Amino acid sequence: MSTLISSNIAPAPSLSILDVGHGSCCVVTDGRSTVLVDTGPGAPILEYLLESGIRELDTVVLSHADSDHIEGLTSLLASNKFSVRRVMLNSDASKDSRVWGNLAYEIDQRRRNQTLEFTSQLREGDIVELPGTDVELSIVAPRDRIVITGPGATDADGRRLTSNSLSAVILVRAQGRSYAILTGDLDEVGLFHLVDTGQDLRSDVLVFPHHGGTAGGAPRSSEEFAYQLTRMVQPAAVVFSMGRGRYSNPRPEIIQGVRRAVPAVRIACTQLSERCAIEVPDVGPTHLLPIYSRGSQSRSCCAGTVRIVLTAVGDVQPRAEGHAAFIASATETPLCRQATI
Amino acid sequence: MSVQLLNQQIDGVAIVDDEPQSRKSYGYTIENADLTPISENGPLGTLDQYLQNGAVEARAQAGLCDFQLSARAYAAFSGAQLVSNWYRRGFPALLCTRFEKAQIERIRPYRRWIPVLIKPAELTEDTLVMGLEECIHELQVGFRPTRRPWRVQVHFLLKDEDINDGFFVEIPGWEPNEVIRIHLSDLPDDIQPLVREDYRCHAQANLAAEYPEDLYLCDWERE
Repeated sequence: MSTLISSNIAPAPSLSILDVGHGSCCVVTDGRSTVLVDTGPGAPILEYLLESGIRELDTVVLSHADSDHIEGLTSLLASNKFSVRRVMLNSDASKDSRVWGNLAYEIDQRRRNQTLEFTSQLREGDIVELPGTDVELSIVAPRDRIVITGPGATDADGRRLTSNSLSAVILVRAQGRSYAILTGDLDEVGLFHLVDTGQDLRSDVLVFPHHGGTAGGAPRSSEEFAYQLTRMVQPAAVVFSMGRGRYSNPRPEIIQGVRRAVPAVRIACTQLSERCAIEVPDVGPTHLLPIYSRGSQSRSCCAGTVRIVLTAVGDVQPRAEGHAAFIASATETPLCRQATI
Repeated sequence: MSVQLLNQQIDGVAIVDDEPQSRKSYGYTIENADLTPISENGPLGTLDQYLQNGAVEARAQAGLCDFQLSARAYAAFSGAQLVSNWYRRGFPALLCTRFEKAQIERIRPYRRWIPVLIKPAELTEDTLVMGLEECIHELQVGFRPTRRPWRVQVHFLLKDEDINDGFFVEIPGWEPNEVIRIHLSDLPDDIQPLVREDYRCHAQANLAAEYPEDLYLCDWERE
């Protein structure tokens, strides 16, 4: 009897920032309804969905057209193992990439064979709901005036707009509270426009743009970018979705900017940066969540997959204590523990 | 001498290699792993002849096999063909070869049924036992993520002018900067004439494969 009752109760909705290595993939789900924001590289999202028993996706939102954010959707659609009701993205003529073409092919195939709702417009003011819950994803960028011109053009002040400038930025809200802000690969120009809209972007968790890499300018400007963004969001935790051995993220100046804005902020990288530890630990960590993390087999995880429970304020998993103990034991030069200059 | 791997008892390990010296050397490694080497001295004939014989599976519970088996008319089949056929019969075996890029292309069509590819220099009693464990795990329990087949898109990019039927392809969702060469003769007959630059179709592949030599492509679908 209790099994029957419990099987009818969906788990609390949560946001998971998956450890996909270098890339970005966020899953908002209550076990019945699921929304993805970006899909990372190919295999990790498939493995996560398989492991989680999720077969139906209500909406997949792509922040922008970079391979480390979209390739998973190509794989997901090609696999024929999962139903996808709706895909939302922004067209990007500046990305004449094979990756973009491969995704377009799969979307076209799925549209011909099955029902797939496809929206090639994503902008400030759009709302994506997690069906059956009070969770909603509120799109706060890009604004109309830069969507209309699009990547490759310049804005009214002559700044060049790239795919990153037009990254969708999304607030994950429940019961009127903003639990997290997902920022894609937002760059300095995108941040300028986001600030200019004057929206309230305060959130408990900031999923930092561009995996903690440069924001498009010199180190000094990246530090200032991180400072401005973090000050605007005022998060209790900042998550970097990054891969060990790729691009040496997060960059120290980014961490400096984050810490300068909110000194007590918790920093969680999905994988263990080689800037923090030259070698991976000899034994597997015990603090990781019992859900898919790409780096778990190779012991490349730091926080691994990060989950935020969307009903309890401050419930960011893995918990800070276990994660801190791992950092203390496994790293020699942890960026997240270094004092700000 | 025998070893229990998962719930399978392994005693004899058949050695299939056209070099007598290699058979001898592998024999020592097998003995050091507390297993019994069973040297297949050949000639083995065709694959059907060898498999129909059934004598090896009666004496051995696992196999260790080189890729090239043609010297001295040792066998009329490749090690990849043998190991993949053994796999389909539930017989665990390692393919042990000094693989190079060109050889990988010849092995790839069979790789779906070859769980472990190992270089002779890396073969020790420990790696032998671990490799057999991998095979038995896959046969009994199922795929690990790096071996799990997914339906994937294959994007044909460019004809290889250096060889007759070579074509460079990418697998979206696998390594973004990796392009692999396939041989059109390995594709089903009805797909071969359709292939041109920018042609796309689907096949099964282990999308989480970490290295090019581990990637397999099979079960091609005509679009």
